[in-house]
Amino acid sequence: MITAGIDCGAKTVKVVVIKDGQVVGKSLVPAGIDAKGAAEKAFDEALAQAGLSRKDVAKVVSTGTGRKEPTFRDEEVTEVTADARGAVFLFPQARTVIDVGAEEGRAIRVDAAGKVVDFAVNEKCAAGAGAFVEAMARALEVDLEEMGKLSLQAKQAVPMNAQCAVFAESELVSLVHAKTPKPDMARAIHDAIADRIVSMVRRVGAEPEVVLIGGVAKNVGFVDSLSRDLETEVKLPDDPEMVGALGAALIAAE
Amino acid sequence: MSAHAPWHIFEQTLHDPWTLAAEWKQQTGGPVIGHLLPDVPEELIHAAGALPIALTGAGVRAARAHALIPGYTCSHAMGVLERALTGQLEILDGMVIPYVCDTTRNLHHIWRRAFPKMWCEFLRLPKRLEHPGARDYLKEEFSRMREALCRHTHRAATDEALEESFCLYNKSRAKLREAYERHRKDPSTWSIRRLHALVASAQCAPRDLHLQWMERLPWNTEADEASHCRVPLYVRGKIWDPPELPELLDGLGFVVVGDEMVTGYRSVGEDVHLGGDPLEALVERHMRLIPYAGYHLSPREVVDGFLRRVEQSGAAGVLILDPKFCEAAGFDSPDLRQGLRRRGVPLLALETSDRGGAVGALRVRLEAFAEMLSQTVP
Repeated sequence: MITAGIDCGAKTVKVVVIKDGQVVGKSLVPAGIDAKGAAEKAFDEALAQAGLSRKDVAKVVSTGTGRKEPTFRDEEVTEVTADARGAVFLFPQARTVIDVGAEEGRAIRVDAAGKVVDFAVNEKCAAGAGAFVEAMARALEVDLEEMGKLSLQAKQAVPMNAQCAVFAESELVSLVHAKTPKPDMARAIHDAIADRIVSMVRRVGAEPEVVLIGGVAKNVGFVDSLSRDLETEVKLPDDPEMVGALGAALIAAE
Repeated sequence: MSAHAPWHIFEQTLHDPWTLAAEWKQQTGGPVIGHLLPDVPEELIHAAGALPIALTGAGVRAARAHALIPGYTCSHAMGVLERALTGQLEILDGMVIPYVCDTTRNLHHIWRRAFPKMWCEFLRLPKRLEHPGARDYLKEEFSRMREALCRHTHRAATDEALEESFCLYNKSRAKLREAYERHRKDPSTWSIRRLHALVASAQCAPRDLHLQWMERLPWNTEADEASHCRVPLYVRGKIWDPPELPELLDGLGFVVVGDEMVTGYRSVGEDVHLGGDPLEALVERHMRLIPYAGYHLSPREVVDGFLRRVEQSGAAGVLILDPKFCEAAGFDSPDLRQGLRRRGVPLLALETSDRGGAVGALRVRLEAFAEMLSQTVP
């Protein structure tokens, strides 16, 4: 059986096509302002990679902020459900799933079947999401990729009470004026996001194994801060941003 | 007549109780008394010849109120003050504010300064309900309120008048409890949105008229198939804020099998016993109500009682709506959450406020909760 999952996120659209439980095609395209068009493009790209056409796909399940956009979807599920299913498929021992995407962070406690037991989503503010890291990288005048590596070179932990992206930038300017080394500032930023995410994780209960998914999982600096804050190892999938789409594809196959 | 017709009047009244109040005033010559929620006995106001109107602040965008009350005030108190400052409450001939938290106490002081010409009474409800003197104290306070109301309305709220009011309100509450039963059995017709409009509008319409309107409702509807697939939910909170929440829950396939909203089941769950001392009967009713977050009871009793009600309701999960900046709700909420988790009852706690969060963000959480619960529904 061939199914597809499409995760229409705030910044990117991800598609995973699976055949009998194996990933046969995937794609990631920027969401832009035409989410419908981006969904079509991502779907066609993933199908092309798999050497399939739309008629070969038995069912399509969408998820993500823009999950109502794909006109070719058969069903839709929330990111919480899709993340849980995808993460447990990849890490059968996973009991806590943390998803940090561009605009939202969430913590999900799951059972062995990948079903959601409890969850929490960050409230209102971008300070617990990828958009915050991007804004801070701009303020530090470093590339997003460089931010993570820079953070690992930090010599000390600098407190930063970031409650929102706007205030955090002011705080960062103060650190710049105080001649704080860039690596320390980068770590302060990652520590601040990690603090917010971990407070959410503790609300649902951080049971091992802990799996981190979403685009921000590619940021080594954030992963380092999160592991330190959680005092536990954090498992990372190869394609952390594709897990929601994978989960949706798996749900489609059920 | 369309299927929506008999329901429209309740939503309309909830949206605009003022037109109806003006008509009532013209017809009867009686005064209109507003009261903040919860626990101002409507029967006392009614027996004194006035029309009681419950005021809520949900969905009100505050602009002027910020100048008089701190920004960390709940949307309920802030919204009511905003309504008054923008002239929406000009129909009122008086106001009763209950002491249920520090915010309502301060609002009373602010109200008296902001609207010196409006008659305003502060109902000093006992906070420690288990205190041996609580009942006597409350009876004295109800007695004081009765006298104050009578002086203001120039009508005598006699024991006989109170008994008549009790009968009317008991009849109304019984019918509203029946509406809850209908909602549980046929949530497609008796939707959460309609049920909320029905119950909440009772608190701001002439009760006898409201009873007449209820007679026109389709009480004998058959439940459709979709009704049996709904997810049974128990809701704890104060008021539906943002006001779109009931409709959102309907759309996501929930059925409310129990709630503790002050504009919901809490307002209709208990009747006043007839035939005895009327003020004592009012006190008895007050003591039987689902404990409001602002009252001080032993935490164990609060949690055990809550868990018992949840269990009896047959809910698959619990939705806790904590109003942003509501200190009283904040005190109880951690214990309640812990109690639910200990029993393995799925729970979603949302900090809500029309001022604080977009409906879209709430929708995602509620959708995820619905998905989570539908896995556990037999």
